[in-house]
Amino acid sequence: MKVFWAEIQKAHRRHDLPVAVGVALIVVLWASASSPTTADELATGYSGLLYTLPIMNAVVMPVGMAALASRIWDAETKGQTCKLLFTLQSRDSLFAAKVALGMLENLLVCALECLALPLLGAFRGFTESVNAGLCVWLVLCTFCVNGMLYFLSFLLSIRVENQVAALAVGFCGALIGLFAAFMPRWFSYLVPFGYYVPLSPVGMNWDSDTRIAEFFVRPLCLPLLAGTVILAAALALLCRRAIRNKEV
Amino acid sequence: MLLRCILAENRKLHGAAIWLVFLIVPMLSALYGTFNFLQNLELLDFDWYNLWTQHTLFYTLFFFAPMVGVYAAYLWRLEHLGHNWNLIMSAPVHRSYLFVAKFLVVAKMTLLTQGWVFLLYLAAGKLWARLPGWPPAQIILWLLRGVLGSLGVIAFELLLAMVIRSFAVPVLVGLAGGVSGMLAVSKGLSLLWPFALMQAGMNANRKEDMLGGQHLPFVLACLVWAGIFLAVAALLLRARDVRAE
Repeated sequence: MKVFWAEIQKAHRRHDLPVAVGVALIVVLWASASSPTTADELATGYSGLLYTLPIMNAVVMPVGMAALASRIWDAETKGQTCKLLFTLQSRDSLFAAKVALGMLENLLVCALECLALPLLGAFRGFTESVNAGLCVWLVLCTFCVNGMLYFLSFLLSIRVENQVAALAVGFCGALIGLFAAFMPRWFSYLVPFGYYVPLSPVGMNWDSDTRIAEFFVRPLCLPLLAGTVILAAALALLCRRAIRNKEV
Repeated sequence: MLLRCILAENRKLHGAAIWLVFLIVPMLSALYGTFNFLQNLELLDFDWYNLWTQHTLFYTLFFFAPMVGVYAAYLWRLEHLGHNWNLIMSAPVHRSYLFVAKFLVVAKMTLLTQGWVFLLYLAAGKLWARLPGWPPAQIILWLLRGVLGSLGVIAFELLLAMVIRSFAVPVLVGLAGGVSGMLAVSKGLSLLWPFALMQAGMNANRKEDMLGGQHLPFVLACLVWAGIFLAVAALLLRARDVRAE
């Protein structure tokens, strides 16, 4: 607990809270601008949001998670504090504290995004009723994919002192994830950066002749969610190993 | 003295990891743009302008500003490590030159990036899409306008990377800037927001020239935004003393 409290204090001095809020705000700002306005669109407002939010997440979150993970580890890199920390506490406790802080920030990002959904709906005057179950599914999937990307960025930050690596992989990943979002479904399974889209609770049928979009509720893709959790766990173990074996 | 500062900044880029970003990001964007173009030929015309709309779609909207953020953050990160702030602040050069040199070096990298974007566009159009003829000369003008439009973003990102001693924040702010720029362009406010200037200059995702006859206001807006951020940086460097790590 003491170690976690120390991480909280570091995060406070680093101003991590505004950064985490900022990550969520980018998505909310974008979603608020692309919200529907006509009566027909307002009748499917929440479905539209639940469809577009995962696409926005695929652009923003890989960079956002890379930024959060990079900042959490960069404090030790820049301060060259590992040698001192490893003599004062166990390496596992440092890993656990940093993971707890990262997941807390991830939870904050997801919670803010979830809170923004009904607020955006009320602000825009959506006539569709909000489906709480789909919102919970969206938040759960976003949290899991974010967690996986957090561990990937964390691993890169530990392994490579230069933070370019984590950030560059993050936003190259965002570009590839976005690319995968519009590819056949089997291809999107190959790109973990874009898992937000195949895990999306709402799909869309676009008729190019009539130019009418129709939203539909997708069956929940539990195997992919399980795969995401397994991948996140594997990356977390790699992070733990990297900290355990780190030369100081 | 300014020239020496520029040479020093250039030397920091030798063998730097950001060259990988420079190479890979436009390449991914070109791959995606060309693929998208070829997949949507029932909606798009088979010409160079339509290929341009797809190549610039995500590159200018979401990935250009974070890329500039990476360039800027990398150059300032070196000063934030160890006692390098003390070193550069005690160097016998005008403090503003330190910032201006970084600004010019990032602007040079942006120009090179635009050149790389054009080469990829040309290669994708001729070798992959097999478009007839050659790209219109107007595209080169749009690319150069993109460099001009990016000056404000470069100055802002450098200012941010100087003030906030974090590598990640300028990159994240770049992404937020890209989204806000897209919104500003959609509301017709491209001249009033630095992140929208680059998108307007590049004519992102448009076939018709977004600027029309507004070249002079565009150039003025680019210079004013860059000037504001350069002035703030100069003021901060003069007012704030060395803060050793």
